[in-house]
Amino acid sequence: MPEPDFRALERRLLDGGIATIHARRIADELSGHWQDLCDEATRAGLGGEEMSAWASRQLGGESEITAAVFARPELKCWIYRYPNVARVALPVAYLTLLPAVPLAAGVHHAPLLARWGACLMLSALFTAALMLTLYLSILAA
Amino acid sequence: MAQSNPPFMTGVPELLVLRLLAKRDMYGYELVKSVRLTTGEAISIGEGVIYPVLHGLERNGALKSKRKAVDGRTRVYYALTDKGRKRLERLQGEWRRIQTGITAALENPGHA
Repeated sequence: MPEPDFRALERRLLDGGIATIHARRIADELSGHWQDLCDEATRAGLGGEEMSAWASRQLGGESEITAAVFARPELKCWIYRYPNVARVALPVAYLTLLPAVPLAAGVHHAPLLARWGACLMLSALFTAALMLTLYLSILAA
Repeated sequence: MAQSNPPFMTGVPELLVLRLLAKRDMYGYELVKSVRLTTGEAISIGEGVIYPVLHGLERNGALKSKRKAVDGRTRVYYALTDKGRKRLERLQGEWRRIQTGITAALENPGHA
């Protein structure tokens, strides 16, 4: 029996709204605990399949562990703990950020934008001059 | 596998964890073994189920955690905070009150 899939358990916890920091650490700690149980089983004379099966039984099933985690709402990320706040705060935050981000980027890169604008203006003037020359040459012909 | 504990044991793992961590810092596996040992195997916490208890207590400020590398493995050690110490005192008081009540009821059932 191989080591239980603790990364799958972590994904299940994340899907259930558990905060990333807790989901990741619980999976890591369970993996370490399983290793300790395997060491204990080895000391008791178990080996191979028997050892890992015993360790997995001692640790408990995935559904038992996930149920115990989900029973603690304080481990969920704030969006799940305060859904009404999230419903109001997130749209307001996005509406503020949408115009603020390009503006902030513009202010931050002002010299670059000025150079880019000047180049664009020069190229437009050059194209207009070419077009005018062409137009005048057609008229003259 | 150890026998699971009935629903009225809710809150007991928390009390035991706080009590054991009041003595010294421990990591999950060590805590589970200590609970078994100190309660004479009368109470056994589901081994994997200890982590939601620990994380919940940490989230509430009763515990703090620290990663330590021991024998090539990274362990997360838990320590009691001042808030945890106060919580332990409160839980111990509540538990003793319940214990006294139940003992009285068991010894004098006719007076109920």
